[in-house]
Amino acid sequence: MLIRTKLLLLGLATLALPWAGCQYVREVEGSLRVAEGQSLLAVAQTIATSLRGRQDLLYRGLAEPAPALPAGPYDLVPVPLAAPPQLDGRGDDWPAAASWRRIRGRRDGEALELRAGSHERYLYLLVRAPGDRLVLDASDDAALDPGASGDRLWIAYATPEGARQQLFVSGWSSGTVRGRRVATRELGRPEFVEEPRVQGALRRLDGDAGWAMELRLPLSMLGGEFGVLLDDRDARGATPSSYGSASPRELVPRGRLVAAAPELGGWLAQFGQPGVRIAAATPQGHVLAEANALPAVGTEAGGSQALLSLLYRRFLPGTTLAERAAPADRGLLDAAQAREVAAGRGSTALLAAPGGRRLVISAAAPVREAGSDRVIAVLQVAQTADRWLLLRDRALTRLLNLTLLAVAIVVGAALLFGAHLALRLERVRRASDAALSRDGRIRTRFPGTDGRDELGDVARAFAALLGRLADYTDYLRTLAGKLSHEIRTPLTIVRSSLENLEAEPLGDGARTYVARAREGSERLAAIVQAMGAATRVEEAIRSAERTRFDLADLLETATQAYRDAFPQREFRLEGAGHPCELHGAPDLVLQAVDKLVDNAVDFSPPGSTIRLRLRDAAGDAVAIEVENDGPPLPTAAGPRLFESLWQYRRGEDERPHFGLGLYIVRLIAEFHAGSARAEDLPSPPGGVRFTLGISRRSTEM
Amino acid sequence: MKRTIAIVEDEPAIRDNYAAAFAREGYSVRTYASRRLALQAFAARLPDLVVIDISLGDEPEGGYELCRELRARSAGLPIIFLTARDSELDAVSGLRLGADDFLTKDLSLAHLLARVNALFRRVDALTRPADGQQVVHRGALTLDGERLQVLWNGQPVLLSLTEFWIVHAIARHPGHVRNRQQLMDAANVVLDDNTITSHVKRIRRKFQSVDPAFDAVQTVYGMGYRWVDPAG
Repeated sequence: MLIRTKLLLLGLATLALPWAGCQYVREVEGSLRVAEGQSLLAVAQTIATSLRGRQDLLYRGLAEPAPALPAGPYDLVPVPLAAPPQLDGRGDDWPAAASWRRIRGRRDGEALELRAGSHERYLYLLVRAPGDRLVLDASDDAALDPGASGDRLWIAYATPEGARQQLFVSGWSSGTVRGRRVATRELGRPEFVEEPRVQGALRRLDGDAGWAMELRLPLSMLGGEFGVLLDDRDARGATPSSYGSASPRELVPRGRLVAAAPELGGWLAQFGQPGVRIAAATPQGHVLAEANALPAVGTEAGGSQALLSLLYRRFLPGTTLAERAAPADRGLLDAAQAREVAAGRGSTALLAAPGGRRLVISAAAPVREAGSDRVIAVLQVAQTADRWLLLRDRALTRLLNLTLLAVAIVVGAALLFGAHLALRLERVRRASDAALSRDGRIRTRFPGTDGRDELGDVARAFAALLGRLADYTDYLRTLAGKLSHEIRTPLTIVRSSLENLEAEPLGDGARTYVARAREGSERLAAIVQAMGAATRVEEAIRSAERTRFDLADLLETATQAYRDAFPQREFRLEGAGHPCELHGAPDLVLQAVDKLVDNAVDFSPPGSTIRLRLRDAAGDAVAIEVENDGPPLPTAAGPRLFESLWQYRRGEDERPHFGLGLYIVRLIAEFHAGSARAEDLPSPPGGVRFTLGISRRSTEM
Repeated sequence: MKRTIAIVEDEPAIRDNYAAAFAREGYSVRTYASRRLALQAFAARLPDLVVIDISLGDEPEGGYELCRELRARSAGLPIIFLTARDSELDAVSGLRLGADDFLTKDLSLAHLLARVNALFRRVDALTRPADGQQVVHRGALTLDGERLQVLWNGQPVLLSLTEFWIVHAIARHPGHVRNRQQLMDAANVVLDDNTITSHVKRIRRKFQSVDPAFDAVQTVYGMGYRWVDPAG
């Protein structure tokens, strides 16, 4: 992996910052919530304490400690309605999710559905008989005639004074209904009296799928007991199938009306504060009364801030902190909270208001019976969490903005630094690649050695290494020359001694040995001479002077000289027909050509032709080619052919070969800003070509 | 009277070998291992010729020092440098100090003796009136083979013995090319091509210091050198 990528990944690790920030914000939020919950709970407990033992204030008509609480199956708890519903049998102005109570009949498909609500002084009832065919009274008066009456709804109840009463509601046409109370005349004969306090409407459900009735009764006429009974007839006057929450025969209410005492709403309202809902509920969680000042949903802080926080919330799960959704039915408290309170404990919860993203903190405290621990009601104090939700969002947004900025800076810096580092590394790598040139020279100049960090150290180490390596190769290169100096002194001793010995009277045998020793020392001297040659050539080249000369003329005379010197070979010169002016050292060029020709003579068979060619191309480059018909170059040689002391041939001749000739050629080519090459010619006819490339205008180096 | 040759050489085997060779030729030989010993002896009496090794014991350039001191005392004392080093630098600085010749140690004893004899002949010739027999005139050039002296336009050109013999070899027959081997034979020396080249280069420079327009020594590529008489 590239260093840049690694550093980038490292930079991305700073993304942990926003995460940690979020954790922190959430923790703060959590403790805020706990504190808020605690203060709400304290309020709830205070109110609950002042309600202790006040059943009269809590429940209508249930002054006695209600032993049946918790409520039985037929108990009816009216939902506090925000507005009085229109009495049209539709029920669409009721709270959407207000729960239905369902009472089955004996026959299949028979069921009575019931909802109750309260608003101010009235009890509202919404009764539905789905699937039941509506049978109307024949006429308004026919309601009293058992032979002509249709479906009717009985309401059995206790008056606030405790007397049991019954009334029934029926209609002779879709629309308005009429209520009739049973009044007992003398001798126990019942009589039906018009009951104008009951108002209502009857409506056939769409597609004849049953019917619905909406009723309004003043709460003042009702006590603690309440039941409804449906006399469901299949035809007018037929025997009804009766079912409901009152006993069919005696018309005694089997359930209770658990409704708030009339004063409760006002009493709660005195604790009301803006933005706070205070509600009293049964231990089952049915709300009796409330003082509701929760702000309406939809006051969301708009603009880019909200958009941003929305975006953040998408990527940061768990910022929705609600423990659970609040019940959709406004008439119910959160079930878990109600259970907890019913068990006698105060409870706080964070609830998500239905349908919105709004959070509600709800604190609930038990209201106890006087003198006992029995829980008779639940008091809830709730407040929206909007305030600190907004605070949290703002903190989160700021935090995220800042940390994202920090991350961007860190990542950018890491990238820049990585690129810089990679660039320096690349320079070092390239320099180390190029440190050893193809011809074996070592470049000791190394970039980046002025860096004060580890990379600088590496570069310096490289430079030092190359320096030492260069010193060493230099040492190796000059070793032969130095050795030749060192050997020269003992050699001189040997040779002068031998010369002196020859002047002494010697026997013939001794003379032979002296002659052999001399011969050996001559050869040794030749070797020493050759070994020092490279150094001498280098020195000669260093002090060589450049003049203008005609290369064509030089080659012309030289070729003539080669013909004299090597009568065994043919020499042919090409391309020297016109002058070729050069600025350089003619002695050196000639010496190089001498070496190439020497080499060509050594490797070509006697009688063969050695071709010299002057290539005078346009531009600066001039090349001298020397071709012979000898065997191809050793494949292993390559550019090392032109290295000092590269010994690539082992001739039968006496002369020691140190491969100096071609090294000298290379030195001379380099002196003329050119190069030396060797290549095999395509076979047949084969042969080898050596090329000495020089520049026409080589300048002082 | 026997001529006296002093050998200043720190290597005893070489010193003694040379001493033996000179003695065999009839010279009186004195040998010194260091500059200090040589100077002490020379303070009493100067020899007729001195052979000096450049590096003397722990003095790498003690020979130069000695040469300078000797030259200060006597302008005419023939001095020959001997050295294992043959680099050009050594040669140039040795000759600048006024040595008459500069030889590498692998020179054979015979060649060395030839030089010594030549130098003594020059000393002798300088003490005699010139008879003109060995003098060659080539235009502006005057070669005195006896005194081993060269004049260009009447001005002396101070050449070493090797250089003199090279000039002598090519100037005797103007226009004729002398190859390197011929030059080496004439100079009683075995040199490689590069050394010949640098000798020629030095010869040209020495003439040019007397006459900047000097161009009489010509290179014939691949063959050698020839003397071109500008007058003819």
